[in-house]
Amino acid sequence: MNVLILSFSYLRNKFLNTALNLLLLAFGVGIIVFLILVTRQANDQLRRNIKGINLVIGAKGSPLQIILCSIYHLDNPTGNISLDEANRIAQDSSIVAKAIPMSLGDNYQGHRIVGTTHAYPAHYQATLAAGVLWQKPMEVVLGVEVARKTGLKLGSTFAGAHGLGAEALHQHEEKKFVVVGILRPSQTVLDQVILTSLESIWEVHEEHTEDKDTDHDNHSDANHDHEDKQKQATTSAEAQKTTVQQEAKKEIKQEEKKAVEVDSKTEASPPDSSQKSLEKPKLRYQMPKADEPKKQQVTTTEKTQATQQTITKKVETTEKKEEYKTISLIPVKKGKEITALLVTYRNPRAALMLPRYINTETNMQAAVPASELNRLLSFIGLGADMIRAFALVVVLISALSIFIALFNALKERRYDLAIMRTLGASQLQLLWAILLEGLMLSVVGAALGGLLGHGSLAMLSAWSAQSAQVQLEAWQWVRAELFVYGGVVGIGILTALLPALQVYKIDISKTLAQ
Amino acid sequence: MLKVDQLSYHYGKTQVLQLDRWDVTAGQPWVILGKSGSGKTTLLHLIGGLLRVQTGLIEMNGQNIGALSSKQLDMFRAKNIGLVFQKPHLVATLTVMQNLLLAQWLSGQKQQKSVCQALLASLQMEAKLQAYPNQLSQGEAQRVAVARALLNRPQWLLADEPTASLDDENAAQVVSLLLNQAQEFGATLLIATHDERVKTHLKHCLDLSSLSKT
Repeated sequence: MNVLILSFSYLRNKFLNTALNLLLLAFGVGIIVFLILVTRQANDQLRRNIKGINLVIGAKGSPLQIILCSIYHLDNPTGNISLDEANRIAQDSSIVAKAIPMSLGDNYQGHRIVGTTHAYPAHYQATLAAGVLWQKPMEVVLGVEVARKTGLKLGSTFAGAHGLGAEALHQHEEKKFVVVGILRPSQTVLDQVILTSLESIWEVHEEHTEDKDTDHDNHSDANHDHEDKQKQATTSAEAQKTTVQQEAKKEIKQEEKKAVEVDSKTEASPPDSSQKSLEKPKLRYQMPKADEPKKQQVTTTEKTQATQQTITKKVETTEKKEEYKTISLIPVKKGKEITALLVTYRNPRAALMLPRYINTETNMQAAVPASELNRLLSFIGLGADMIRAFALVVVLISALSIFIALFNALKERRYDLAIMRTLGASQLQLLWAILLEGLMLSVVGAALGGLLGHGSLAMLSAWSAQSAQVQLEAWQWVRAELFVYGGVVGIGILTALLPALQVYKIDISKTLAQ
Repeated sequence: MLKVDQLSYHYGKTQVLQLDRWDVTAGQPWVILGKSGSGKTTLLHLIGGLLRVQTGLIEMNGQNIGALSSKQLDMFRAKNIGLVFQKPHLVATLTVMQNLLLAQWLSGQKQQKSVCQALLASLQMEAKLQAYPNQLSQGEAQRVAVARALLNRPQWLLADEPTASLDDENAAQVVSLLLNQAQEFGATLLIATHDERVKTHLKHCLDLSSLSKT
């Protein structure tokens, strides 16, 4: 016999009551723990993926969509941007430290095929578990989760399907990818995607552009709408041009002229984008001097040189500003399009300048990952707060229920306590026995709640493993959990304390004389 | 050896007990007789240390129990006094065996299942070792209560109205059980009761009703 057996016997005696209290506690704790784990891990992973990426440039549309699409590979692209235009930004080494182009649109069994440069895996410090990085078109490197789930190995070939979902309509059967490398786990989005060169994507889609008229109607996906988009852009550009011509009576402002130039270039780009020859794009990249006087440091001529040199892949040797290391070498192909450009700034000045420039002076859209992610998390956070408050109420109700149960039990137990006192029990001993009931309840409740929280996360992650970009680790422990468990145990002790203190009020003689 | 001298007890301003002199030799069973309100339970509780002495003296085994601190009194009681009440008051959530082990534990004694078992066997209760109190008859529960009171081999066995609500036959059984067990364990039995039937079984009687009137 000891105090544990004694306290436990009372709990067991009121089995239903005990079970109900435990259930309430476990649910409250479980929900809170679940929320903590999910928000913490989602937060960590989402933030890990935007680390070092200051800006994403994509086609006009929702900036949040651009981030979801280009960084997390969760959403469809907003459209395509011209490679030439992207290159002009990428090659401005005075403000851009790193630029990663990205061409999206196809998937294999739900895993997105990302056309990019070697700078992309390098950015996440990904290393190869097997094989090599892609060198030629149609060579791919698999993320570790992709390799695990699809069972593809080095040398395996597969055909991509159009779109994001695994049940995409169209299969690019004619063009087979070949696996040349598999990445090590990086805990980033790279684990979930298939990497290849930009050329691969262009190659696969070339035939689409050609036979667009015949089978284009089958595709509802955004990527294949690029021709439409271009037409739209052209239409709006023409409208703009008209306005410009009307308004500019005597002199045409510089920016407007540039806009016209850009537009005319878009018009001029040949619809037959299969042309592969390396051409020097015309340089129209000018910062609006009126808006950004600081920008004048970099002259247009310098920029022209820089661009040309990049095109000829000799940037590092002849670039005047030698302290600026290059920029990833983006293949330059006339008329080609990419989905997005991930940009790392050279300096803080870029944050002030570049997004505004892109949004106002180009027909591209700049999205800042950090602020879009914060926006997204604040939406989610609102819901999580509500659920958390609800869970807290559940915990408090269970605390109240434990309190009432103990308080009522104490009335029935007055004789027991008086008898135990006559048998030699001290008041402190009995106080401890009652406290222990609250303690046991709350400890078991907290433990069950923890299991429930982690268990439901395990179920969730198993259930969503196929498609989730955020991989949830169910059995990872977070320090914040300890506060929850500690808090619940504290509440358990407090709710037991008040009934337990009644021990000191019991008059043994009176109780037993009744 | 129990010595009571000039003992009185008040609840507020009401005097409930006045006992000038009472001596009990060890081994002599007594019945304390009195109507309700005559102070017999108060006297028993004072002797048993459930109430603190207000005025007067109670000396047990040469120890003035009024001079003990409440903690010392608890220990003194646990060691020297066994108590039996009108109702058995077993802990309902524990088995018969656990109830006895509880008594050993709370009094700071070594927990010995063999001792408990032997005691229950002597009361023909060995079959009910693992039974819960609500599975026992009134008589059986009372026997467990007696066993619990005697478990730590106290020198005094105090019984408060043990026969109330029992018929003649059962009352006689309980009284003889108490007498026999007290004798066997070498404890001095004191029974406080209003039940005149008990008197016939015991030689010595302290009649509080007659005392308070004179």
